[in-house]
Amino acid sequence: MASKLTGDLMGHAAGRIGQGIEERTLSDLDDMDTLARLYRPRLLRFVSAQVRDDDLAFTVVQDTLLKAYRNRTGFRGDCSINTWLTGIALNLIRDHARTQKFKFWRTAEASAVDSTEMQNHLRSSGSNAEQSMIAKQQALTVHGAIKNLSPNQRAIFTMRFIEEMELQEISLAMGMPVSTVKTHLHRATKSVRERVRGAA
Amino acid sequence: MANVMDDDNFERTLMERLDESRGVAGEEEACNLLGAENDDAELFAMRDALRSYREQSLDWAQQRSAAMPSPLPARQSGWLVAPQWALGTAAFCACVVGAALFTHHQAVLVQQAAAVLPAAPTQQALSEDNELLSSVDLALRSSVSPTEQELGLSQVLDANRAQKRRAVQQHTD
Repeated sequence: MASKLTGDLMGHAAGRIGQGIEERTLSDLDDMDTLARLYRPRLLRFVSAQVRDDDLAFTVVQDTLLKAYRNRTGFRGDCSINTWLTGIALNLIRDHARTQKFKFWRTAEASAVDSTEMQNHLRSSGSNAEQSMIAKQQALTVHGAIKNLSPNQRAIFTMRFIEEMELQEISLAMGMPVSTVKTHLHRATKSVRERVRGAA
Repeated sequence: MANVMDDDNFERTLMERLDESRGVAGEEEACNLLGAENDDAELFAMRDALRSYREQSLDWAQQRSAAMPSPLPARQSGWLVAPQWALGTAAFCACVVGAALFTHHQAVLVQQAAAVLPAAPTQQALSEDNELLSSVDLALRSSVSPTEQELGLSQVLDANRAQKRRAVQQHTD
């Protein structure tokens, strides 16, 4: 069972190499600069979508890379490095979510205008062409739709549709059965679908 | 705009469309959806929205990541890494050792100086000296020439010698 899962993941990882998603060897973990260069952008995108706080996102990403680097000997290679890093980031987000500071900001965020760096970038990036304006509007719609999801739904939806991870990988990173992942994903997709449909 | 596709199929088909947009899946899935125009339009809208979000958010993350410092803390010299109390203890120990060495050195110098100075004459040495002087005096007295005796110089010499002896005795006392 484990070997089948590993085989599936390795096969999926191999399939993604051709799609521009870099899957590297374990030796990448020995060099912090390489590790940061290869995986930090995707980690930052994922974590920013979860916490919606720039400072906290930067902190979590840096802590994730540092933790991965220090525990690199414990990485058994039974999943991709990206999945492993995502799992570490999720645990750190959960740790932060238990703190009072995070609860305060989440309460404040509920009634405040979203003004994260990513949100501003989605508003302002690109040229003035009409197509670019449509794309920006679409991206903002998804951004807003993801914001309304529960933490688990948000994480799973992001991993599935933004980070393009397989269900087995999401299951490993989240530490929950695939069936539970499917349930969260189903609800998340329904919610985002309604939001995007309403904006269309 | 009735939707014939439920959420489960929508999620599955959406993922296939995303794969299709990356050139992974073939045309088979797309052909299966040709009959459902409304769902097709919605799928395309959703796919485009997700793709836009994915690309633009990654663009932001790459820009932001390039400006972030290395997660590893800057390396410091070993002595800077040591806690302050350790540095304080080391400085204190250095002072104590320095003071001990200085004190020891001073004691050695005093001992050497004491060894160079002559020892004070003991009572026994003085008595031996006196005995020696007495014996010399006696020998001299016994060797007074007849001429000196006739001239009465022996008493003067004795007086001079006794005076010198008293002077030596007073000096030694």
